[in-house]
Amino acid sequence: MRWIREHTKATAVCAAFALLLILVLVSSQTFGESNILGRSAGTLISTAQRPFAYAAGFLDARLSVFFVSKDLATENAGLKAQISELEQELTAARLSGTDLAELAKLSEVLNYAGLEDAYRLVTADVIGLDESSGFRIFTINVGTENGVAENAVVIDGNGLIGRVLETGERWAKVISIIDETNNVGFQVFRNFEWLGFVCGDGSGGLTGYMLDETASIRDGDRLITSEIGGIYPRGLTIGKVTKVEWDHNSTMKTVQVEPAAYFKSIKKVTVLI
Amino acid sequence: MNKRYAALIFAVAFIVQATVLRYAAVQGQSPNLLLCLAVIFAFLYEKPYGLVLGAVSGVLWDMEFGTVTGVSGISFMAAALSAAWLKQYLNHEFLLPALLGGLLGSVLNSAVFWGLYKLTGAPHTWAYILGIQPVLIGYNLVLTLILQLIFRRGVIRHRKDKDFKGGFREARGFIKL
Repeated sequence: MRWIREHTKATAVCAAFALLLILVLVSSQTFGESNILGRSAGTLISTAQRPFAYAAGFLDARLSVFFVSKDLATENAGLKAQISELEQELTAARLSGTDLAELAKLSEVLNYAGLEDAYRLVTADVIGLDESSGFRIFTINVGTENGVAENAVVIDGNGLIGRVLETGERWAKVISIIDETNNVGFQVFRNFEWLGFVCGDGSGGLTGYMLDETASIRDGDRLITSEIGGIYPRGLTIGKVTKVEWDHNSTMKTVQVEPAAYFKSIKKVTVLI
Repeated sequence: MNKRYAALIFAVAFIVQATVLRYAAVQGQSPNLLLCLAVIFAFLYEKPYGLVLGAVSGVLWDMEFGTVTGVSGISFMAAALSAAWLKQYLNHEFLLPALLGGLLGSVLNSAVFWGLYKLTGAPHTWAYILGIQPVLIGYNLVLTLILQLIFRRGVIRHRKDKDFKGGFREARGFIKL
């Protein structure tokens, strides 16, 4: 007690460390979920962030014209290649127009519901993003008020972004698929029977493994979500395979995947509810 | 510095970190403004602004972007404490000591942050954790230097001041230690 009285500052620092350690231990049991205090703080922070996020987005859109000319040229070349590829695909699709008409009839008969029919789509703005640690979690400006719930799937125009980790009234925390802790079940577009799992590789890409080591997956194969795990609906584009390897340690076929969504400039997303 | 002014600076930094600094990311990493502020405040000021506001902003940051609350609070506190300790031996008016404070704070922050996350079961590999450090630490050092240039003006004391502490003599003493 005497030591405590004589060293009040050191005692205060030790007490603060101990309190924070207890908070870490308690919080690690609930992984990403906040209590009422955390949710209130989230509401307050997200409200304050909104104007800054919009202003930053606006400035970025205006200023990027001056700074990204080199990136723009590379992107332009990539887009040209993509257009050419799409034109070829379009030609192939036109050729199989009769098949498509038959499929449309079949979907009517089977009462098949597409993404727009099965879910209500809510568009959201990204209002906060942490790029200073290895986690890929961001905040969006819609929440329970808009019908967003935990584990709601988040997409953008290119493909799968992630899922909702936690919700507040007018905000939600989204964990992206490029986070190392977020596993996503996939199937290969070329052969729906080839299944596997991917998660973030820590550098903005995805890494994963095949459940069936005999699956002849190859570079360029497109991966879509499977229903394994029960969170993601089937058919959302995850990305394109860039490398296939045989891992001798785990005796599994591993894949490196380039995500379809462009996470570096993520501004708007759509939540499926 | 007034404590309200210090709190306001941290509040603005919090929002800027979450909204604006993402556009300054290099190889997927942006500097940690809150950490740099905690370090530079602990390094420059006698009052424990860096320690207290660093811990509070760290906890709030975890609530907003983390999966385990309190990790950033502890790591920011550890970084601020290291800078406060270093201040006793180095002259805080110069850039090099601030750079040293920033380096120590940044390394300690990463070690505590990832150590705690690994303990709580985060699946990140050590190869990945070490891989992101050079860019992150380099970026943090640049930001620390900028912040030192901004905030040091308020704390420069005259050499003939009887309360003046710090200088090359103390620095030499530190190196001998």
